[in-house]
Amino acid sequence: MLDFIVKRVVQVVIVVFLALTVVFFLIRLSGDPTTLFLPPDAPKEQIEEYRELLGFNRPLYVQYAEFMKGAVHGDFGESLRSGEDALGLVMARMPATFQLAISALALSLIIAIPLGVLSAYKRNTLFDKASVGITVIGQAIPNFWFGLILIFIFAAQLKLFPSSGGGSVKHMVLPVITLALYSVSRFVRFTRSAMLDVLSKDYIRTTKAAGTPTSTLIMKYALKNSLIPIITLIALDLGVLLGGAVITEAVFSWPGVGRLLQQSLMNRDFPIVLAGVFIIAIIYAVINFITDILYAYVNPQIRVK
Amino acid sequence: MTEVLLEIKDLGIQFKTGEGVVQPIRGVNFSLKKGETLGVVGESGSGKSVTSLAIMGLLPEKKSKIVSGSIHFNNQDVTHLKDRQFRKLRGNEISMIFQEPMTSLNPVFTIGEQLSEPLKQHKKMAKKDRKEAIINILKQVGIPRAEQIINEYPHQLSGGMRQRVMISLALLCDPKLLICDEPTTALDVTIQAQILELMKQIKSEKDMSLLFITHDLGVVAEMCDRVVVMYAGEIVESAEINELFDNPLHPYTKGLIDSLPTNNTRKSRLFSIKGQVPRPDEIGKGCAFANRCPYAFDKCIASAPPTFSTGEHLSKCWLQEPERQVKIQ
Amino acid sequence: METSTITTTTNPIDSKVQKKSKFKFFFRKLSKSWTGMLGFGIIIILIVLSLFGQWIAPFDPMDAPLRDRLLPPLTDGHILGTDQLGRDILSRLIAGTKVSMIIGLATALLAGVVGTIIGVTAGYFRGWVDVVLMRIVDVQLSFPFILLVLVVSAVLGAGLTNIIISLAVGGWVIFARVIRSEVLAIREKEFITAAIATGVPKLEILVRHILPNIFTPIIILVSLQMGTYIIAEASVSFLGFGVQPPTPAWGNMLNEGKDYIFGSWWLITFPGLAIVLTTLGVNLFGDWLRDTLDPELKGE
Repeated sequence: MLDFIVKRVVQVVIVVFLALTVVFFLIRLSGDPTTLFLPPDAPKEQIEEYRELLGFNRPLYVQYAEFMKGAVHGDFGESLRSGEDALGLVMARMPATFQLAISALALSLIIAIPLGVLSAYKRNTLFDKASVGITVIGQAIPNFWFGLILIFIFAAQLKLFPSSGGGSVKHMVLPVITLALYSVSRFVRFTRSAMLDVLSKDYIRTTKAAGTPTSTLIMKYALKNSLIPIITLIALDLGVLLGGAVITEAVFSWPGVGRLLQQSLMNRDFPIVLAGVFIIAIIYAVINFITDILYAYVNPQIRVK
Repeated sequence: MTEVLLEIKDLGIQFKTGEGVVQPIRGVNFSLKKGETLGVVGESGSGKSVTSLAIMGLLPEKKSKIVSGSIHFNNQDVTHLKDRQFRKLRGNEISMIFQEPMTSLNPVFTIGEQLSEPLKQHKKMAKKDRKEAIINILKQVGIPRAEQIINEYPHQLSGGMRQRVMISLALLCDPKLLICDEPTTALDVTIQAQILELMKQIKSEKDMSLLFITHDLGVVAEMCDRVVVMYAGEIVESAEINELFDNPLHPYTKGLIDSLPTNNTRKSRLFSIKGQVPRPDEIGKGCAFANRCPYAFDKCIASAPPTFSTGEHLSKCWLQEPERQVKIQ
Repeated sequence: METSTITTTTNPIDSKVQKKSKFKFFFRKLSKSWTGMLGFGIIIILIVLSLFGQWIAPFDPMDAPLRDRLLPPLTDGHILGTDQLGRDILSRLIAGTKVSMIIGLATALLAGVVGTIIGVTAGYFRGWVDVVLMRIVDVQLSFPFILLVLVVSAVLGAGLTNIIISLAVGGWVIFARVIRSEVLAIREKEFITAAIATGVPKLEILVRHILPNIFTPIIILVSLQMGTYIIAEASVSFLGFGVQPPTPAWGNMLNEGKDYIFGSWWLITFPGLAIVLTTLGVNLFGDWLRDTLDPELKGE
């Protein structure tokens, strides 16, 4: 177990290090951010002064070393705009993003797993065909557009929910549904195929032969077996959810990391971008770690090892 | 005469496939008395597994249909029994041991959890009594350290041990009928012998009927009182065990006996029946075995034989027509 | 002499017949699946619109008569209405088809070529090359695709080429992974072992035996990934980093239209429907292609 944890931590460090390195050089290669802050006709001396001030006149490797040294201590510099601590700004936005992502995940699971199970059990019936059809269409809908449509119907027309901002449960409804849409479609498909696979297994026949009612057979036995592939697939999909959160936040002006990141990219406020990348890479790695533990919990063949 | 426990009359089962409807079971008749062991023998594709699934009520619901005949179990017509009622029999009065011990146990539940399922469904037992009953049955089937095994997972057990667990699962509720579908085929030879020995012992201890499905006449000789031989979805011969071996009436049975290794020891080559069991859609109007039968003549190709009987010995072969009565050698 | 002339003249005909029957086979298979047909039909329409859109469109997509701004659908010949600058939405959608198709196809090709080269290299040479390449793939896969595309396109700056590059930077890993496992599987086949045993040079084995055999999975992946790229491009353009106005791309049409959502629903409805239909068509066709050609690829 300790071995496993150490291995994973090393992996996470490598991933985060590489992500930061790549993004750092990409950003520096793309040009000098100072020009963005000054009027286009600013005199050369003023530009130089600014570059000096922000440290952009030094050789690239020095800047990189400096940046990494800071990053190790959680120091990503200050926002080029507001002068506040970059990591602090990102961290302050974390709770809002978590709120959105976890609610959306929970909503998708609550809808998708029963739907997928039922679809598999009623395979090739009208119900199954309808649910597969809906998931196919659901996967073709860009979630930002779905968000816009929800805003149009529920905020503009019906005036049931606010169209933007955060702070109350009412604010959450539309963004959470928007973010959940895509995951629901994928999770229904995962669950259905995992369940179909399990239902054809010999051990399910054994349980049936013991006189087990269909409901117990599915809800207790087959579901636990299918959870192994379902968990794996969902974990692989959390990156998509995290990415979707960024876009959803932009649509609803949700005050989370995604919106901050989008604005900072717009403004070339790179310390914030780097801090954001750092946090997202870590979150993603932690999610994967939790998944592995869950996986071991449902799969005894791994647990014993 | 002892009471009949299971009676199958003129059973016909159809399956829907991608290409249309096929009928793998075409009029099967046999009965099983209380306490008797009946062997059902045939190559793969002969329909023996489908028949056993029908007795268990485990035929795939949407894909298959019983189109003719009836199954009576313990004087109850179970042919078209609703799943809800069938559930009360399954694992309780009728149990089944499957061919594949490696894949027939659920990998994510402990042995104890899986064994308590039939007890939960059929016996209103307290949790403590259930545990006791399970440990008891595991000991009966010769599993050492039963107390620990109940907390272990299938992958921690060997193939032979898993098959013992499967047997104990089938025996938990003291069934009246135990169906064994090739219970030793997937096992090593030495383990096979152990499992057969165990089955014999259980049979002698418990008052139950056994339906023993196998392709191996040797196993039948060791286990059974009576044998039915299945070919292409019908029973071609049925007789008491010694009678069948001494005096096989159907060329197919004769072929099966001849391909037993013990009868071949002096021959240089192992005998085998040429060709394969025809698929359900390949069977014409004549005898289904005619194309592989060394004794086949005009009549065999023209029409299918009815069942002829000589006392308790039944066979479905034109050679046994009363005016002909050929003894095959 | 005579026979040899006959064979040379019949050969081309033979291959033509074969080609024809291959097409026939394709359509016979396709006609059995209505979802495949639907996908294929949508794709044909998209191709026609991309190639001949400028003659089909009722208006100039760039022409902006401000007095005609925000006209609802079915007024003054504007079937789908006009946008905030008075431009005809239908014409802009048709023009946007070309942009989406170019981006989807170009990205799939770029990501496909890069990913295939890397996948083949890793799978064929194995050893440390494989380890290093696959580590890189793993690292990239541990970062959300759309975020990567967003960061890269923000850094590279706006424009059609840059968005294609950004999408390809995010997308090559899938190709590399799948192609590598395909190559690993093919390597184990008897005919490769036989070729190695008879002393066929490595490069020839690669070109003559392995590459033709991974062609099918590449085609399937291209068609399955295109939908992802089209949606990703629209998302990035919607956020303001992709194709820039006034170029008529569906994503930035939505970006511009979102400010008028309370008054003019048609600005956001139709470009979104165009994306949904396109993605649906490409996905249905891709699914059908996979199920028909290589059902085993389903796991990926």
